[in-house]
Amino acid sequence: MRQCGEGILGVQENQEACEPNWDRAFEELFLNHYGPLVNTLVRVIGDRGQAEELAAEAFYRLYNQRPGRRELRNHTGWVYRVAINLALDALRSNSRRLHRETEAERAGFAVMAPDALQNLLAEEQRARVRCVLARLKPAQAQILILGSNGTSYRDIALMMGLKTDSIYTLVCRARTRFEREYLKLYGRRP
Amino acid sequence: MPCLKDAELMRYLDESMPSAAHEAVQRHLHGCMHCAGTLQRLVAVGNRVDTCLAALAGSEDASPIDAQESLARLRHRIHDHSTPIRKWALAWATAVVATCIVVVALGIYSHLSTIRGRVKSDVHTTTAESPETPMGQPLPVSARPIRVVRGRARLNESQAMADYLPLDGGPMQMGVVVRVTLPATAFARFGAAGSGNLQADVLVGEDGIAHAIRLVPQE
Repeated sequence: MRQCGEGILGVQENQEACEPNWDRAFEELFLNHYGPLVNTLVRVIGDRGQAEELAAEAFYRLYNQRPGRRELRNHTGWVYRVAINLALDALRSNSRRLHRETEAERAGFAVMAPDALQNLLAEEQRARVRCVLARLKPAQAQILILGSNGTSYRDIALMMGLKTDSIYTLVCRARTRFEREYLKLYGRRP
Repeated sequence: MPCLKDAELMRYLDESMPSAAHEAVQRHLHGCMHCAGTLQRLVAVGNRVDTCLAALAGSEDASPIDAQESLARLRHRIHDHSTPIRKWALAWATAVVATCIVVVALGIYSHLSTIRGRVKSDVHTTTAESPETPMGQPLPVSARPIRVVRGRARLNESQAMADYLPLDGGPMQMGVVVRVTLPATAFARFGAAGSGNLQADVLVGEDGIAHAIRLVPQE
């Protein structure tokens, strides 16, 4: 039986951080949400390894936060928000590299087979969507990413700590802003 | 029923309204072209954006995600960064290194101060052969120091000239005292008599010209 003060992660916790079942809850949260979170992040940044690193970083930050804080009551929502923000930051820092890579891919456009062309166009569309997401406000990007993940608006509101009524307003704004940014960047609607 | 806001229409589309409200909105939409148009616009925008975002789904990796292994790595990371012993060791090591740096810095500073003080106070003496140099003439560089007695790097002229007999060297800002051994006949103009050699301190300016001379009492 684990004693208070000894964490499930093998770390001696101080008394303040020793809240009942915190370590057990953390482990359960990790095992339940790590996979879906990685998949969500892969969609955002398109790199499995980086997505795993970012997801682990978000959980690491969650563990280092003390569970008594009010904003950490909703651990799932917190870790998703942090992870998506990390992914968006990574996306912004990678945007220049992605642009160069896209240009390099265009150089080999003429010699590609038809199925490769489809893949190229799909990858180009993904790059465009990521670029637009990187230009949105974090909350708007979070709503769209979580919504595309199949999460209901009610759950998104819970995860983000919003009222259910206000989530629809934010969804409308996020979609409109996404379309506007896409039009601005690429000259046509998505 | 007044016209509906976008958020209300979104809620209607999401079918999250109570059934009575849902039916009321439906009735309103049948009779209000404006709200029906807004609803169509919202649906179109939503479809376009959802299609875009759906394109991201193709980037997922099909290989399974090993959450247990990731948890083990996270455990290791937390352990590495949070072990109290490690924290204490790091704190002690930092303190020891900082102390060493301070001690070494103080040692270097005090050593430099000692050397500086010694340079100021020490009198360096070297010996060489004695040349025969006429009074009031510039000392040849090769024959300059016979016994060089270096005092302060910069001499106050009034202090330097005390007990000295001025020569025709002109004004001087800095000089060195050179002890020379000369034949007694060279001091005849100063009233010195006798034979043999006499010692004198010559104040030589930085221009190499003797500016003053002082006889050294014979032992």
